[in-house]
Amino acid sequence: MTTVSALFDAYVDINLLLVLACGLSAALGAGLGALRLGHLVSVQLRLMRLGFLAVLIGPVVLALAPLRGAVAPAASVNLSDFVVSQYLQGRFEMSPGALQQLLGWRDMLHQTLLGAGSPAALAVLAVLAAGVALFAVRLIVSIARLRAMIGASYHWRRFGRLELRLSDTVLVPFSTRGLSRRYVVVPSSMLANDADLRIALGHELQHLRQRDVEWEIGLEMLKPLFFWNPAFHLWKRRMERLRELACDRQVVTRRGYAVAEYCQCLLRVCGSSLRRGRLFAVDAPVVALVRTENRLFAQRSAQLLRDRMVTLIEGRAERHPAVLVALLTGPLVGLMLLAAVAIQKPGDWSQDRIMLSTIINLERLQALNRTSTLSQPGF
Amino acid sequence: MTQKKNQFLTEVELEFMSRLWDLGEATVRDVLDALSASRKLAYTSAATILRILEQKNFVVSTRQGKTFVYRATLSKDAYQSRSLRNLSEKLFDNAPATLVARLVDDNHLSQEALDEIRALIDKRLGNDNS
Repeated sequence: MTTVSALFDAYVDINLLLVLACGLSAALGAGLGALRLGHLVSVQLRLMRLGFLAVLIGPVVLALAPLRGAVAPAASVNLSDFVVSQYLQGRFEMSPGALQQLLGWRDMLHQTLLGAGSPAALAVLAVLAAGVALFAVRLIVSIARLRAMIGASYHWRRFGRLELRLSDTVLVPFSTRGLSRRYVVVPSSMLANDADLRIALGHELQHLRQRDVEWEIGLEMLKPLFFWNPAFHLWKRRMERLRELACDRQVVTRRGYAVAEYCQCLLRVCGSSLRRGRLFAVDAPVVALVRTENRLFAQRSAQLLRDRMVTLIEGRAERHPAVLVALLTGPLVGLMLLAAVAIQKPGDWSQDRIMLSTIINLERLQALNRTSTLSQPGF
Repeated sequence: MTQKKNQFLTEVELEFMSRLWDLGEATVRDVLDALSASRKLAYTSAATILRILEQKNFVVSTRQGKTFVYRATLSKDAYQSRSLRNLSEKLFDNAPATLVARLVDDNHLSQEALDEIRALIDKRLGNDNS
C-alpha cells in the first residue's frame, strides 16, 4: 500500500509539474518571440524534451527511492512550508483554517481516492479508469490498423533497419517504427512526381534522425494516463509544432531545396489528401509529412501548415543550437527537479507549521469559549 | 516475391499497364519511351512501379542479360471486366442494368455508339437463345 500511495503521489506531482512546465514553455516561447529569437525551434524542442523527461522522472525517483525521506528535509525546499512561513510573516491574509485546508488538499485527495471509498470517490475513480481504458483501446486499435496498413504496402527498399514502403491506400507520407525496424511509408502515386518524392523522403528521414518517431510513440503511450490533463495535450501539440518547424528547416538547409518548391510540395500533398475525401487522421503513433485532420481540428492543421510556411519563408537559420541547449539544460532540469522536490508533502512538522496549527487550535478554543459563554446564564 | 491482394491499379500503374498491353513485352526503358512526353519519370521510379505491379501479380518478369523484361499476366479485357464489376458493385448497388441505363442515358453517346451497343446486346441475346 505504501508503494501504491507513493506512486499515486508521484502521479499527482507529475500532473502538477506538467502544468508548471507547460506554463514555462509558453513563457519561454513568448520570451524568445519578444526577443526576435522565435526561430530557435530546435533549441526549444530539445529543451521541451529534456524538461518533459525531468517532469516524468523526478517525481517517480523521489517517490520510489530512499531519497524520499532524505531529500526534502535536508534540502528544506518545500512549497507548502514556504507558503506557511509567508503567511506567518503577514505577506498575505487568509483565514488560518482555510489555509490549512488548502495546504491539506493532497491529503484530502489521497484519503478520498485511496481510502475507504465514498460514492463520489468511486465515481471519480470509475471515470478515470474508463478514460484510461478508452484511450488505451484506441491506441491498440490504431496500432493494429497501422500494422495492417504497413502489411498491405509494398516493399520498396531497405537500408539496414530502415525500410521504405509504398502504399496505395495512404495519402500522406509518414514514418513510424516497430520494435526493431523503422518504416517510411509513401503513397505510391507519389512515384509519378520525382521532386515531391525526394522532398517527402528527405522530410521523413529527418524525422527519424531527430528521433521524432520515438517521441511520438512515447507520448501516444502516455496519453491514456494523462488524457484528462489539458497541460499534457498542450505540451504534445507544442512539441508537434516545434518538431515540424525544426524538421522543415533542417531539410531545406541540408538538402538545399528551394523554399517555394518545398512549400508547394506540402500544399500538393495536403491538397491531394483532402481531394480524395479520405482524411488520414494521424491518431496512430506516426509522424506524417502534413497533418490533415477531420473538421473539428481542421483549423489547427491549417494553422500549423501556415506557420511552417511562414517560418520557412522568413528563413532565419539557428546559430549554435547545441551550445544554447547545453547552456540552458542545466538550469531547466534543475528548476524542474527543484519544483518536483518543492511540491512534495512536507516530511516533518516545521516550526511554522506547528505555529499555524497552534493558531488554528487557539481560534477553535476561542470560538468554543464564545459559544459556551453565550449559552451560560448571566450572573 | 510476396503477392499483395490489391486487385486494382492506381492511376500511374494503369498508365504503365496500358503501355505494356500495347507493347506485349517490354523493358523499363521501353515503357518509359512509350509514355507521353509530358510524363517526366525517373528510370528508378518506373522500375519501382513495374516491381509493384509484379508484387500485385499484374506482370511477370524474366531476366534477359542485365535487364528485366516485363509481360502482363492479366489481359486488358479481363481488367476491364474486373473494374466494371467493381464499379457495378460499389456505385450501382450491384445492378449492372442501372450501370448500362446510366451509360445509355448519357447525352454524350452518339447514335453510332448506341447502334453499336444495340448490336452487341442483340448478338449476346442471339448467342444465348441458340
